[in-house]
Amino acid sequence: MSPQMLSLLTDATLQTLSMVLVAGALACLGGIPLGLFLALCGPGDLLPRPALQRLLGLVVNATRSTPFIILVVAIVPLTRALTGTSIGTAAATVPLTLAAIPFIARVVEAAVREVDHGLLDAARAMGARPGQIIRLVLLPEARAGILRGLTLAAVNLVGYSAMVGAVGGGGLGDLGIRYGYQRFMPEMMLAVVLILIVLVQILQSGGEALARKLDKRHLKG
Amino acid sequence: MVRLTGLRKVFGGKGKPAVTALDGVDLIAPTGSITAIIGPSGAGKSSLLRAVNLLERPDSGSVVVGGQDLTGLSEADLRRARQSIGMIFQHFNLLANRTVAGNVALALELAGWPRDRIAPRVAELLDLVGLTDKAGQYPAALSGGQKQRVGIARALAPNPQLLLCDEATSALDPETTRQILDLLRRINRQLGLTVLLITHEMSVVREVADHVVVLEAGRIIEQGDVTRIFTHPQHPTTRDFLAGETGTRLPAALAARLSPTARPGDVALVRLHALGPVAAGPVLAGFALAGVAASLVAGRVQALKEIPFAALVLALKGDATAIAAEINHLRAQGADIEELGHVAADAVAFN
Repeated sequence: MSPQMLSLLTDATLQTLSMVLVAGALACLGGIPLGLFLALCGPGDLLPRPALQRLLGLVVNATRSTPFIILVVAIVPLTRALTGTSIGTAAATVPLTLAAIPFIARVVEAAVREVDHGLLDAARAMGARPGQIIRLVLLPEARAGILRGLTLAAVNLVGYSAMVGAVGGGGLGDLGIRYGYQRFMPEMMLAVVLILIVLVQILQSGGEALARKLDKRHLKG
Repeated sequence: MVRLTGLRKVFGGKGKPAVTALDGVDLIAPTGSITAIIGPSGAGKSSLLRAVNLLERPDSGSVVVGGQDLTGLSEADLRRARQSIGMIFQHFNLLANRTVAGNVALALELAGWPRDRIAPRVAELLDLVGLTDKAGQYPAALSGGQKQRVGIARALAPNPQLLLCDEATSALDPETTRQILDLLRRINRQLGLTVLLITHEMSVVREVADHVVVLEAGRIIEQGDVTRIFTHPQHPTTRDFLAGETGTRLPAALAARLSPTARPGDVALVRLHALGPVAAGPVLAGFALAGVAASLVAGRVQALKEIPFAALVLALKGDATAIAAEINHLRAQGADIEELGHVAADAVAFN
């Protein structure tokens, strides 16, 4: 493997990592509160706001059902307005964030809804306010589930970040397409795929290890 | 301590079939007593208990706890009132991600106790329920009985006046059940705590209750002192519950052969409930002295509030007047005798 190839791979890996991390962090900022709202504000939930909850649920579903590649193209004006360009790593972060927010919202919602309803009874019987129930019961009990959901989102982001490569987003996907496919360099393609596999493995096992550490529901042998 | 008046609660409606869970329930649980609410599943026990701290708000009726009508309180006042009503649950409802000590501390954090007073109070409670050595463990490492002890410690933490027990022993094995009931009894006596519990097991009632409330289809069909309910049950449902607990439910084959009138050669079947000296006394010999052959078909002698309590099904063969005289004699001594009917002698192995 030539030094040029190596430097290309290093740059592309760093670009992918920055896209995943920045988009992931931004999407958490939007997705976690949104997920909590979806889980807590439905009809019969702790803080019912059924109309708004339904509306946001519809928006989340609409965003999630738009194919990612179409989303990337469709929001180019927004991307330009935010980053001043529609190509490159920074520009790619915008659709990645936008796609990850509803995904994270749904996994957070699912994790919070998984918490045993009996715990809510117990907390209410102890005179807890809704805010205390969320802070002292729901979030601590759901944290392992939320973390597993975020791991899933991060792995998905790696995949999506490769996809934005196809439309000039930079990163490993871009490298794989331009060198591996268009210039017919199978060794480059192989290197890209291997790096992606390793990235996903690290994310998955890191997330799972942390979730297991936080999860006290089962005895560990 | 607890006075419930005219509680009604209907579930469903709006297209779904309406189910009446509570159909006008009036109940008084005196301060310092253990009141057991028993009934078949679907009788409305859970709705009744959950109405006491308004986890389920009744459609109508009033809930007075410690002189305060909870139904009229604002949300904030209701939350404060709930801190003086402890509750334990069938499935314990402990936070899996808090340690034993952390679970007990939660009740105090919610009640707004200052940090420095929480730790000593938690230690005191863990000592009370015998779990001091488990303070740092997570609930996953505990047995069912230990989990319920944590639930009890948590419920008692903010010094409640009233403890609600929602089928607290139904998920436990018989030995653990007995230990938890002993603990409830001890707490009731030591702290003067009023306890309101629901159960579907008559054995739980027998072991801990002072007062019994029998609930069926959302109505109270019978209530009274536990001794009175066990020795003189009135309602058929109460009798049936009791028969299950005392082993005096007739086998189906025998029940099918019962006839209200006696044919020649038949034997009379009676169910006897007696407490104290009568229960411990020579009941069978009494019949024999009257010239009646009495044989034991079913039943047992158990302790009811540490007094012997006999529940027996007897087959009596002999002169009808002699039988009636001996039955009257036993009744005069306080025994409750239910005449079940007559069967052919071979049905109970008389020849």
